[in-house]
Amino acid sequence: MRNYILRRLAVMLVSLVGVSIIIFVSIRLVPGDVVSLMMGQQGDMAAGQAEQIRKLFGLDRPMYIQYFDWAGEVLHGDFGVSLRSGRPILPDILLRAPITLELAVLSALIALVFSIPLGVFAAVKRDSLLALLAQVGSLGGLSIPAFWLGTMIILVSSHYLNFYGGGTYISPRADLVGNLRMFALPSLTVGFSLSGALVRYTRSAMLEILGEDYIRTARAKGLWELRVVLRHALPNAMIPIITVLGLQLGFLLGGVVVIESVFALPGMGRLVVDAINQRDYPMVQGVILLLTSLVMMTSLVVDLLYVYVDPRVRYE
Amino acid sequence: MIAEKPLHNNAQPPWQVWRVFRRLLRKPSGVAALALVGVLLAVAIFAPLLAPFDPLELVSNQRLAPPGGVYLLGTDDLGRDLLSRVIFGSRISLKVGLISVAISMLIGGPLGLLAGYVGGWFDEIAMRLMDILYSFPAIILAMLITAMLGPSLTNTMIAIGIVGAPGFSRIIRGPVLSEKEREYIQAARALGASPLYILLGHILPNILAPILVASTISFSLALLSEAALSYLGLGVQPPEPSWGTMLLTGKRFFEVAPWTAIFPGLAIVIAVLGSNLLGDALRDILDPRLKK
Repeated sequence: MRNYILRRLAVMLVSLVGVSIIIFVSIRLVPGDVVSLMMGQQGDMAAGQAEQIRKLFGLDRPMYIQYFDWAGEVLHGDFGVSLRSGRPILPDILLRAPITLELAVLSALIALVFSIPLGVFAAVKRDSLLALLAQVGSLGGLSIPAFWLGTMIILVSSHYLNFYGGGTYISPRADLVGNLRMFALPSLTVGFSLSGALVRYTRSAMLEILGEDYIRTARAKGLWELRVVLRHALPNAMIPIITVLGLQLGFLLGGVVVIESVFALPGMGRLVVDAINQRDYPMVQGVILLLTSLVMMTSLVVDLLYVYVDPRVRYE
Repeated sequence: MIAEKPLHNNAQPPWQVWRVFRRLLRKPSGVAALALVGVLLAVAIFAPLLAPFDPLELVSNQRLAPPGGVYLLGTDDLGRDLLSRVIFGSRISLKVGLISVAISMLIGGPLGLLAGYVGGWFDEIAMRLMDILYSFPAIILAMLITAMLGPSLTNTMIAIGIVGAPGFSRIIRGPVLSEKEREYIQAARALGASPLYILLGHILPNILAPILVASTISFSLALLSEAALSYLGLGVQPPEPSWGTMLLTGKRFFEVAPWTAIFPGLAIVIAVLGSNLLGDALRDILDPRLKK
């Protein structure tokens, strides 16, 4: 098990180097660097001044030297300085990360709490109305763009229900109720989108398991149906469900990033969209590198979860 | 020598389009899928005939006109007819869907085929590269690529195409791995067929079913990604009537003119729903082992 984790961490490190190179190179290929953007805003800046600024930012050096400098600093926990605000990047990211993480965790919780029972029910009572609704709902989750759903939810809640938690960010430590109220609609939106795949896979995993011989045996023993479903079938269905959950992590974070724009939440998503538009290289690199590492770390945790869910799984 | 039956021996060979079509018509979800996709295709093809107005025509005294009357779905902030824009938007969505999926297939397909067939270090390197691309949250990678290439319709399609490539290479590699060990492939090899001929002539036709199913799913993901990118201002640029760009405008005015946000979104939902339903129905027909 320890060896497996070490090996996975090594592979992750190699992948992260690949990811960092892709991010570093691609953001530098963006037409128009930050200096030319600044020049666009301040028309009187002379060409010589632009060169000076490029030199100051180190943008005049060969790309590979810039990369190694940056990578070395990142390894020391220094993500550099924003080319726009002049402030160090890491504190800015850390200020916004809790918002994105809270939204992601709440959305995942909402998705799990709704989709697993619904998926189980849709498999057990295949022909019921609720099963049909669960199927239609999951197709909706897969087909309705989250950002449009979010917009519609804002429309309905602010116009008709007089409930819209948006606005300035409220920290959970300052006001937990206010914080949850603020996150309620965005996390419902992302949660609904995420549920689309989860309900589907829970249902199909349960259908497959419920057809197994040992389930027939359990029923033949006269076990209570609820016990058959929850104790005998569900734990075995959890493996494909966890796999899907792991595969959805990237989707979840991507969804969160877009939804932040819809609900005007000042999280990492807004940060990265603004940074791309302003060609703030270090900021884009920092945010995307952290988001991607987060996806990788969580998928490792998901893989390790298998061991707890299924005692047959052993990592050598 | 008798060649073993190919992998999907329960499935209709996918090139028998007519038989697949007939089986689709026998399933309620298949009929719904064909109807939705058919509507999308028809609207896109006959857009100039169906649209009551020029989608780019500005009518200054008709800004944000509510639905009804001459403007069936209302107008946007510049007085352009929303119905005409939604109709012409179907062309952009269809184009984005088809071309992005084609790009994903062109990049991911050969890689998956070769990685599965050649194996060894090539497989290892190709799959690790794809893993690296896969570890990015998809929309963020697409954002990065459109930012790099500059926001436009073409670059949006390229970005979505690149993001979708790892998925295709994985979906194709798996069946190739199992297919290449089968007896009919060994027979072809023993008869002296070249690897290229075996790959394209024997293996590819037998793994068309999962490719076709993956394409419909990728198509709907491409539509959603285009809309999301355009919504963030990183995709198709105004005044082109993309549904995502229309939603971006709609977002600014939806408090006073909700129809500007409602109808383009509904169009996306209908198109994506059709494509998802088609993918499900095709999977049930072509690949019964994966039946949900």
